[in-house]
Amino acid sequence: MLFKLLKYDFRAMWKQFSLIWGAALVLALVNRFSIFWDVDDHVIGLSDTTASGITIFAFIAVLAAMFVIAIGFVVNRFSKGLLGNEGYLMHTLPVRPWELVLSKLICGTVTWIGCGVVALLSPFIMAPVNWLELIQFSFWSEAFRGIFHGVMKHPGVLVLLAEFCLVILSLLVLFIASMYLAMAVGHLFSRHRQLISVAVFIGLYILIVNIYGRVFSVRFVQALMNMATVNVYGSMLTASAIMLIPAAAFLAVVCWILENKLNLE
Amino acid sequence: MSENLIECRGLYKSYGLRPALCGVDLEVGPGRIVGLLGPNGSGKTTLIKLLCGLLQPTRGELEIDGSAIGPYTKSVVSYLPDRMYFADWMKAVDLFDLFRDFYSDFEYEKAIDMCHSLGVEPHDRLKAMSKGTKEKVQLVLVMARNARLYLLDEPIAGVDPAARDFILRTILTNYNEEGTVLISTHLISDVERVLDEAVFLKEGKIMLHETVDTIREKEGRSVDALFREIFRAEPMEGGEF
Repeated sequence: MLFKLLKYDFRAMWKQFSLIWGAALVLALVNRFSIFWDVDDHVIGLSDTTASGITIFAFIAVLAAMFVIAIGFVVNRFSKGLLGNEGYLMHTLPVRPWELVLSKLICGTVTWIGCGVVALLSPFIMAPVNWLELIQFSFWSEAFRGIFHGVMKHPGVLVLLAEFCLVILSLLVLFIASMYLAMAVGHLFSRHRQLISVAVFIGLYILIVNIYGRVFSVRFVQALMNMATVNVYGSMLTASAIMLIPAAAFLAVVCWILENKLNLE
Repeated sequence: MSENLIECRGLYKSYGLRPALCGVDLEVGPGRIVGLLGPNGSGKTTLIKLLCGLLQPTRGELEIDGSAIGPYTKSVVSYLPDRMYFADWMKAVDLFDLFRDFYSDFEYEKAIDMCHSLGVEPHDRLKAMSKGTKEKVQLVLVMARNARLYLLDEPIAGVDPAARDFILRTILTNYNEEGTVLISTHLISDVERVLDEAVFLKEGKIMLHETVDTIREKEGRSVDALFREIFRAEPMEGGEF
């Protein structure tokens, strides 16, 4: 059932983000030709016209809007989709609340990853690269050969890269789980739900910082941390675990609220 | 399998300090059309939402087809809420796809046929549809299922008498006859002719649960007339104009 839920959540995500992701990438391409222009085969000129200024501004505006919409998307998919009118449909589907929450969480995380990928990809598209040279086979074969030799020489790089991605993913999950818990707690009240949700979100942040401060001041924990973070591999895994443990606790509370305290009046 | 499709025992639900249902005991068998009748605020919608799992009871037990409310009961219940529950970016066919994925008793072709007979274009975006057309789509979603229990919350409220007949006809010609239909309404005269049983709710308590034939036989009058007597609001006395 989770896969079926994901299918519809991803469809909703694609409806909302296909346009803005496409717009960001197209504007990056437009900027490539409006900012940088080819003087001759190997010389690139820099344009300083009003048109290029406008396209740069439009590009930055679209990127900023993309991240704002991404936050709104995560909030809306949970608040309207599970706690609002759409909840009348979602909570009458023959699924468990944890499946509904997990589906929203995965979709929200993927949405932000997608936004990050678009934001990272755009500068590459804008860069004054000679694409005709780049798409030649010899370039890629040399590039891949270089990467392959580098990885074979230092295989730990791949592990580090994977761990770095895990840290980013854990951070995203913790952030989204905090938002979900804040909205779920706000739902328990009959009035001022949004205001209470914002207050709970801020409270959760303060709580986490305080709990971490207290836990990490205990000697036993410090000794454990020293053992775990003796090298960079352990440090990143520990960082992920530190973020995922409270995220799992938050999500468990969210599921409990949806299972036992759901109140779609 | 339980003999009764719906079983409520000592069901109590309150919103804060305000009770909405006070110790409801109710048993409804399969293959019945039951009217859940009562004035506004009597607890009809609360009872239906409890049966759907959209609310949790404060106290008491609630079972559908012998099971506590959960994924199984949700798979056999077809619910028509008193509001729109779908996202505007979807088309009616998207919703049909969703229902086909989640409910094994949903008949896709029947839904398409019902759309055509109701004058709804299933490939139109819901955003472009009028409120009445959206309500028809919602009705199609509910009635294209071969559910064991149909929970219809005020399906004829807020529409003109011609539309009421139309909606009732759609319900009666499409429901699974082995299943039970629970219709909540305060428009008794419109639904009386289709009901097998009537449940009168007043201030969160069941005042009466009888078959319509028994009511007519015992009371010698229609369900509507009995309803009007039980729920007649007494005008304030001693007031001066």
